[in-house]
Amino acid sequence: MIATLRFVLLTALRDRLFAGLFALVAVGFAMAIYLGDAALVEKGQTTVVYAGGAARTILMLGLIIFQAFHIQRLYETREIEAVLSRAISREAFIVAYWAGFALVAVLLAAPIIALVFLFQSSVEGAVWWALSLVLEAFIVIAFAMFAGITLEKAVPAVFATLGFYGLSRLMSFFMSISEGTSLDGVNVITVPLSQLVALLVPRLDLFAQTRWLVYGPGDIDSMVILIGQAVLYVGLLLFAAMFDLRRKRF
Amino acid sequence: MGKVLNLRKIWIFNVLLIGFALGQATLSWSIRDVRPTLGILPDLPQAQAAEALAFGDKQFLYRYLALTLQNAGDNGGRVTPLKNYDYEKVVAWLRLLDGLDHNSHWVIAMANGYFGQTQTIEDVEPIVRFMQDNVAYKPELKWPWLVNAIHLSRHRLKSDWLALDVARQLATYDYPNMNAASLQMPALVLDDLQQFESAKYEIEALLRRDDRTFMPEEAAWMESFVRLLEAQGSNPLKSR
Repeated sequence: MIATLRFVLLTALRDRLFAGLFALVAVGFAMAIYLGDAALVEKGQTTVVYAGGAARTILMLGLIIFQAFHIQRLYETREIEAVLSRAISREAFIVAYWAGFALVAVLLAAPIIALVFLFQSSVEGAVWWALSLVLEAFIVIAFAMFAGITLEKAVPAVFATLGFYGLSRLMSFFMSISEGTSLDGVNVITVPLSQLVALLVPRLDLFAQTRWLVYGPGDIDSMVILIGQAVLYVGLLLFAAMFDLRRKRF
Repeated sequence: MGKVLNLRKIWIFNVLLIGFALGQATLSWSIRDVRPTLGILPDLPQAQAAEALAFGDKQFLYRYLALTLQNAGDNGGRVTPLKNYDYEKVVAWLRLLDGLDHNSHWVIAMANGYFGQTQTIEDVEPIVRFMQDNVAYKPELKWPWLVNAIHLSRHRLKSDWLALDVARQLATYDYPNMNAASLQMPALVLDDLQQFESAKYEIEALLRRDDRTFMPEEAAWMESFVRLLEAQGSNPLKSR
């Protein structure tokens, strides 16, 4: 386990993920300060919202791209076969790799969270934002790993994960459309379909809400829901990845 | 012979390179007057489209669109006078933003301090109406903006009747941080409207309230104001 964590961490360093992502986040924060200062009023609130939103997007994109290419390289160099030939089960391999990517996500998120704390208007809100950002990253890396293991190639894995991420962030929008639509014509199919998709896709729009950075957090029940959602969905994706890896022949 | 051919080929490529560069320069020169069409206000997204644009983060979208509205018309090296704005569209934008965040003061500050300063005086009324609606969502946070709305109505639009409407809305609220002047506002506007009896009634009603304790100075001023309204039958503030 420790060896796998070190391996993933070293790969992230070798790929200059940390340097590249922090440079992008620095540019994002600079833009946020510049644009926030242009606001007529509420300059601080506007800055923290721009910074938080931009940092979240950069973090997720960075993780998705890094993971997809990392896993593709595992297949191309047959490193995955070398790892699995040792005394590690395929299930343990999945868990260890997810933990490695999760460690990278936490290390990447830590300075971003520290920067957001400098600008926040509500300490409690910033704590909630930070915690849910990490949970969102855990779900995204679990899906990126599942897609990478299943598809084996980086480009389709990136597209699949971006599709999943977009769908999850827009789920409340699709739900509101389906609820306000009459059941006639093509809607006879699309409305139940969207409701079915909603059952299978997590509500990532509830995570890392920038409004918390301005107005403070919601009630504690909603954080319990987010933690439950992360535990359930990471578990689901890891078991799906295990299922797929068990069926592969090397 | 082979070397000569290679040199000839290289010359052809170099000539083609220069030809394409000249062609590009000619094309750019010929379309130098083609400019992007810059409107003043971008078209308004529908509420559902706005939700999709938010990508799950309405607060980010709110801040983004608020900055877009604030800078609309004043970009690309131009400054647009407020009289050139379509105020129906402006108010629709303000209402869209209000729907994304009822707590923020940015939109109402923009309405009051920016769009409310238009050179077209009749456009001030929809701005005042928007301010009334915006405050109504979160009066505990935003009631002071109604004082600005009264100012816009009286001193820019010169409509004391609209000011009275706003003042009455203000007086319906009762928060601990509201001073007596906020509650006296309808009476003050009525006094300007020469409606002395109604003004007196408003102040007396305030003095009779047992759910609100006024400071002795506030109560004394209201009592003296009632006496002036009774005694003079004309604008007591001006005759004082």
